[in-house]
Amino acid sequence: MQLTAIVLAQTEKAAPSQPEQRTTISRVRPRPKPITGPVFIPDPTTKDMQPLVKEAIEKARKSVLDQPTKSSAWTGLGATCDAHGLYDCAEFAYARAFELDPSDYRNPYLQAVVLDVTGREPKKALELYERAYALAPPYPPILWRWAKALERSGRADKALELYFQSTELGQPLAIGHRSAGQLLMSAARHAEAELHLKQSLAIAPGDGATHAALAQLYRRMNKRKLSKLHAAKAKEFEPVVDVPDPLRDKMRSLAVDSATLMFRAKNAIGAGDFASATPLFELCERALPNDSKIQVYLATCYRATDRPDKAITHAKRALTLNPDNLSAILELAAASAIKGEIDNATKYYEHAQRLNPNNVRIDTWMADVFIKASYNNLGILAMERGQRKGEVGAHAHWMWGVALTENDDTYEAIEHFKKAIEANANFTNAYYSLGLAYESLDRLDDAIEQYKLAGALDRNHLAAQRLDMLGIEVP
Amino acid sequence: MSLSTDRYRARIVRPTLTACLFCAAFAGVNLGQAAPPSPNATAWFTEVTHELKLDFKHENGGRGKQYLPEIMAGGVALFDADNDGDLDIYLTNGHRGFPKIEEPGAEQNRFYRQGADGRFEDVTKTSGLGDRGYGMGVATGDFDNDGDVDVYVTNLGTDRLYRNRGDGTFEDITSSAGAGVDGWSASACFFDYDRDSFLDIYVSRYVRWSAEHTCYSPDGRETFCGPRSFNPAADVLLHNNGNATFTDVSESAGISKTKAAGLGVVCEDLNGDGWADVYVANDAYANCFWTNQHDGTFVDDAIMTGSAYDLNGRPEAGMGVVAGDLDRDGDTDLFMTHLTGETNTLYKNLGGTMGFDDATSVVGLATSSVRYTGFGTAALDAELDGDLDLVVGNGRVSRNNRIDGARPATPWDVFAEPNLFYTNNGSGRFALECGSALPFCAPVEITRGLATGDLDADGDIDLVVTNLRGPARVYRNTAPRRGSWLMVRAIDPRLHRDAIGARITLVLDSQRLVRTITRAFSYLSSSDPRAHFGVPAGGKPLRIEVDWPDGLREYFPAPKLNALVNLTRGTGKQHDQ
Repeated sequence: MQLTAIVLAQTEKAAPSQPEQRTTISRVRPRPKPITGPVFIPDPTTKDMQPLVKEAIEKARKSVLDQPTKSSAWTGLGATCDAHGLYDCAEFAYARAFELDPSDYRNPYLQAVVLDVTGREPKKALELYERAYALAPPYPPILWRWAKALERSGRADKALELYFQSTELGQPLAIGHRSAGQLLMSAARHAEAELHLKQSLAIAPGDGATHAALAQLYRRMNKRKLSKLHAAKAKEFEPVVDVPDPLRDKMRSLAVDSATLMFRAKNAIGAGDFASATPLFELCERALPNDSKIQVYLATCYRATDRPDKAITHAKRALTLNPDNLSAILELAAASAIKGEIDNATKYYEHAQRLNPNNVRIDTWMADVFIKASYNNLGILAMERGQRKGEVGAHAHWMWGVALTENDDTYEAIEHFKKAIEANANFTNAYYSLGLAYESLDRLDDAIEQYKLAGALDRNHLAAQRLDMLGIEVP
Repeated sequence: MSLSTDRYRARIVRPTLTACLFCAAFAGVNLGQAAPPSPNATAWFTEVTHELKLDFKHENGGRGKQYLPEIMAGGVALFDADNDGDLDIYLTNGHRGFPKIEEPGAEQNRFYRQGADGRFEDVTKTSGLGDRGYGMGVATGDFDNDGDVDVYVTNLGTDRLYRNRGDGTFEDITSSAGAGVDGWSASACFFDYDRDSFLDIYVSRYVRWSAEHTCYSPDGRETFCGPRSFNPAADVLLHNNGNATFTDVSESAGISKTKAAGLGVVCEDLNGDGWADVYVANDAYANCFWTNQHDGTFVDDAIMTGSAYDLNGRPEAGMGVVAGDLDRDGDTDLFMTHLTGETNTLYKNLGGTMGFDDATSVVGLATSSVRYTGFGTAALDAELDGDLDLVVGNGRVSRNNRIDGARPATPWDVFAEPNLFYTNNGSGRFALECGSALPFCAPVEITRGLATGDLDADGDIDLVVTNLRGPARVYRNTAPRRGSWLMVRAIDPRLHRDAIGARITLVLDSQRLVRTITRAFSYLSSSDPRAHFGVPAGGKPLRIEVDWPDGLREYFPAPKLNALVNLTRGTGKQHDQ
């Protein structure tokens, strides 16, 4: 870390108008401090950093260089550094921002969290939480984190008081109840602990951490059955309840490192939102141009958003980086199929098979690609090949059935839809497709039964509309 | 210049001007009640590595690409290999062939025998203990009840079992014994979980590591992946068949169903039912508290006992662990070391079946540890005042600002941290006392393994630590003595060995001090199993009670202080008279 000194003309920022004093706080707000000498702007060493991170930091620094007396510029630098784990820079910038605008609670709060989580200056963190709390609108995270820091420093009574307060700020705060419950349990105030933990669970029934605390509490209360019950639930559920903190979420949203971008992009893919995932992977590519996995993800995104040419380009780039990248080969096959280059698609499919001859999923995946590209016969052949290797899954049976239906081989299609349902009893589309197949054979009662099963699983499914058209009530 | 600017400069720009290594190492850290040492004060620990001729330097094979195993090793064992009455030292090592674990380089684990003059001689070549695997940890124990201590080495690769021939040389019997656990093993312990008189082996295992992963830190630099980047591995329980062979009973014992990136492990009776349990510090997964069901199986009670998570209900990055009666209430508490951003954690045993309470904050161990990443740890009565103090070896797993005085060469210097030493006030509250223990705390290194034992037979506990890519260091206990001492060796003559798992209670006129005969605690390490007691000045010993691993309780008469006492099973009284 280096420092850049800028000598400023002696300036003094006009004191902001005093915001309305909160009645519960007697603290007098400090006036902004004048800047009377050289100002140092943190300049984190950017050696080996990814270019996007470098750029983000440079941009935030430039903003400070341009407006060194503007608190928000320093907050921006602090947040950018914070989001990238550059805590020295973050802490310094937040502190500077607070000096420039002592009425803004965000800076002492964010600085306190930095000091708190890095363990640098626990006492200073406590002071800053207190100051932030005095300035802030009712903002539960400050109270909760302040309480947690107090608890960590051994001041359990004060921490408990703040946990209670955090649960009384309007919105139900599960973590406030949970933390209070845990402290009460440590103080052997079991009945009160139970009350708060139950309140936490009422707000967030799937919180594994609360279940774990209840398991512990009931063991201490010698309620073994309840203890076991909650222990089992704690294993089943992840700890989900964290303190909702829009301010820190906003700070974190500034992160542009590859791991964070990749995380966001994968989440977008998980939600089926390939359009949003694509630019994120493009940024990842800038950070890590030689990462074959990112190239494959890009190929997937471009294929899914109907840009097969770009998909092919990136899949080929992935193969250049890693010639054995099976996913890249399959992406090439899929994109080729979408483009109608069926010979190429077949060639890549065969290549993938050679690399991994016993992998059923290669066949079912390619079958899916062929069928979606309307090459039903190729799809059916791939399915048959896959089935010779091993068990194919519910989705594959369903796609197989779809292809057979489109080939007017309805009876065989029905068998595959049934197998799909057998493999996954909650497979709504399979019930619906089976219904359509029955309907095409004029077996209306059988069809209605399947539509009802699909409708029961998803009232918004096409099957429900179909029932509606047939004048039948959706179950 | 503003106040905060001054502070910033002081921390970031000027530390190189700081003359005091200690001050630099702890810049910005609240030292709690630690007072700076007076110039004439005797340090509580004195480094004697060179004096004792221990010249081991750890090699992790790191060559630029950041592979997780490089930042996790290695371990140390203190044990009397040749039955000459003093402690010898065994150290695990990586190798330059890494990451090709099956193609080792020239490096190997090293074995140092202590001579009559207290100095160590490297006898690796003749000992048979020069394992060339990518070494992680080491456990010691007499698995064949022949009166000498055998060695189990955990590796990234296949673990090895070395049988002591009786003269301090060893033979590799891994294959014939069926003890070669594959994958990435971490800590291990010898213990008799089924009371059949033969020591079984518990092996904590970390993750299914692959060299293909690359991970990046929030600032976009390449960094070591965390355990969650890989699939976790299940621990292994090897049952001793009594004929120099072992059977993997992980599945039937109920161990293998949990996969949780295990690192530190303790194997002793933690719930007071007389049967050995297992506690595993898992990295980024809920810890495991394997309660012995007395039928060869275990059930994980960590959640119900309150020892699975931190106070936020989240798993922490468990590294090292030690069990001991830290608050002198007669039961066994747990202390664990963790990653930076988390506190080290003390789980106070509430007694009976009540489980544990996370008492870290209450006992004063929270704020001082958040900044560091702890690994090896031990509880010892440093100044002989009757309570157990704590030592913690630190060293990061991800790059951060270089701490002034960091000893490893670039690029490893940014992983180095000082160590921590806490004194117990007698009622289980701790104060950071690095000011009194500068030689141990101040070196800014990447400490991993830590083992304890009375190396110089002077009645107090000394320390040996391993430093990643650095030298192992020996610290002689030179603390001012506030009482007397007693060292107890508990022997079962039928088994010709230390009674691993025996619980020794020294009954004084005013209090009861409890220790367990165990070698396994800390991180990747193995210590002298003898029970060491500091007896506070004025404390009058009344008797010793021994709960032997097979359930027998015996009473022995008041011992003479400042002496090593051998207690033999069957020679005590079975009634307290």
